[in-house]
Amino acid sequence: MAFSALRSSQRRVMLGLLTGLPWLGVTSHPGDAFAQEDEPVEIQAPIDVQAVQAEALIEIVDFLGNGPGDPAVAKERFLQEMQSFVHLELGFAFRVCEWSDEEKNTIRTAVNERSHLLTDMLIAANGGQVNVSGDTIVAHTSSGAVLNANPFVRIEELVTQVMKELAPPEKLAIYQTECKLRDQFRREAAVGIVMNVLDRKLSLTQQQYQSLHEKLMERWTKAINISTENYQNNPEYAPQLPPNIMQKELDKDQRAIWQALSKYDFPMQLGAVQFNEAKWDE
Amino acid sequence: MSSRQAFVLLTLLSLQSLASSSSLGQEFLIDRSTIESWIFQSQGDAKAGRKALESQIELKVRAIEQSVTLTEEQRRQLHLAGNGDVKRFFDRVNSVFEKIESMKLDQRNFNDAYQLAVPLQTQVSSGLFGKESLLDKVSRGILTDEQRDAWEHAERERNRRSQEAIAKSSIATIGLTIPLTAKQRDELLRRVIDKLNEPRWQGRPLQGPFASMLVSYHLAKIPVEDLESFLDAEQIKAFQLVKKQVGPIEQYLMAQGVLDKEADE
Repeated sequence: MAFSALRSSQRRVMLGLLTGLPWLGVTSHPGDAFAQEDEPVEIQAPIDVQAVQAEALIEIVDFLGNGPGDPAVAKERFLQEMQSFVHLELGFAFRVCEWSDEEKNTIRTAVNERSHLLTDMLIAANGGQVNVSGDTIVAHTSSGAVLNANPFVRIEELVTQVMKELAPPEKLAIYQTECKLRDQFRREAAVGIVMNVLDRKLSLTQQQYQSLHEKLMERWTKAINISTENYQNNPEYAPQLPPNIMQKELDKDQRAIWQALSKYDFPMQLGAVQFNEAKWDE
Repeated sequence: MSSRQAFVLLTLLSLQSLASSSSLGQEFLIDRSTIESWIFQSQGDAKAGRKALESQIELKVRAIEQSVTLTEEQRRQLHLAGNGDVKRFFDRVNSVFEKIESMKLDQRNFNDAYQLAVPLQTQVSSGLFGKESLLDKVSRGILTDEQRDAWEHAERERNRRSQEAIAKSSIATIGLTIPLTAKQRDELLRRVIDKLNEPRWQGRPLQGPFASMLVSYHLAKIPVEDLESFLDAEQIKAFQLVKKQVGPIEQYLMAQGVLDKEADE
């Protein structure tokens, strides 16, 4: 019997006993002994993400004991939760250059009409547990929704698509440039925090520091999905980095320490938007 | 599945059967290899754990050598001190072995045994050679003034990089709740970095939560009239709310000695 095949409640009980932390979600907590390896091992067979999405909503209220949830209700609730993040992104788009009120209205309306597309990333709601690898789970929201994609990236893609159709090309170009700069900034922040952990743990030479920094900026695609504050506050953890980069850049002693370091990709934790009364998109 | 994972799985499955058993008084034994797997999680056992700790000594010595040239005698003394830390750690490991082996374990107190191993597990994960270690103390004692200056300079550079990354991370996080353009992010970053570069902060190598709290503190202390030069009214309103939340952080940093109200105002 595979550990991942156990019911989520059983997994929580067992890990709770071992760690002293009750109600652990095994797919999302560093206390999970399986999460310590370089490679995720929880999946026993390739995951059909479409099938998981279709079925996950059925077991959404698993540990609350309320029986199967209604997928339509879960999706609606999720969309309401995403609404303030959509406002934020529109607020960003409307700040990067000058827009007329009419242009703003057109774009806002079109984005809102298509926001239902965002439910594609929802794989469970109401704190339900899904039987997928830690790699598949990218974010948790404050209402307990579990997402398989970075919601900020997905919303940016949605707005970009609408702008491609409705915005003047020069304004679309400015928005895309700003998005690129923001992505770069987020990536630098994430790589910088991880480099701090590596530098403290592995005593990198100046050359190693520069080379690793450069390679992670180029090739660590998940950088903007990590929750940087978790690595800042828990330097005993490191995210799972591309093994080929680490193998190549580190020497024998450093590799031994890197192998021994606990690896865990903390999913993003989306709080409620702090300033949700702000009229960002006006 | 590796042998270690299989072992942990077996432990978990035994616990599952115990949890569903009605015989709560049933005793069971934990052998040393199980305790070792708790303490040396990623390494799996004490032998591999010791090897990893010994590698860390060499790395710590090399970190110093990146900025200064050590004599053979200095290297020898550093290794001696590092090995002393490892010995001290394994003395504690042995003491935990003995305590757990002397316990009569059943389902109810199994977690107590695990909790005895947790501090050691944390120490392995966070590193043995911090400020309180023999290795750190000896390294400060045996270096010449010139070597110490060079090493401290390298450490300052490392701290600077670290603080800059933390500042960027905090501003990127703010960008998830307040929409900021590239220019606005850069303006905020410059102000925080300027603060952190002030002489009174340079000698304080902050890590972990302190560092991000300090960045939040500096961000919240940017005067409104300054914010008005690069943020719009809605953004400033949101920042004002951030300012309100910084009070407890400020008190905490003062209580920890990170902030000195008079010096830092």
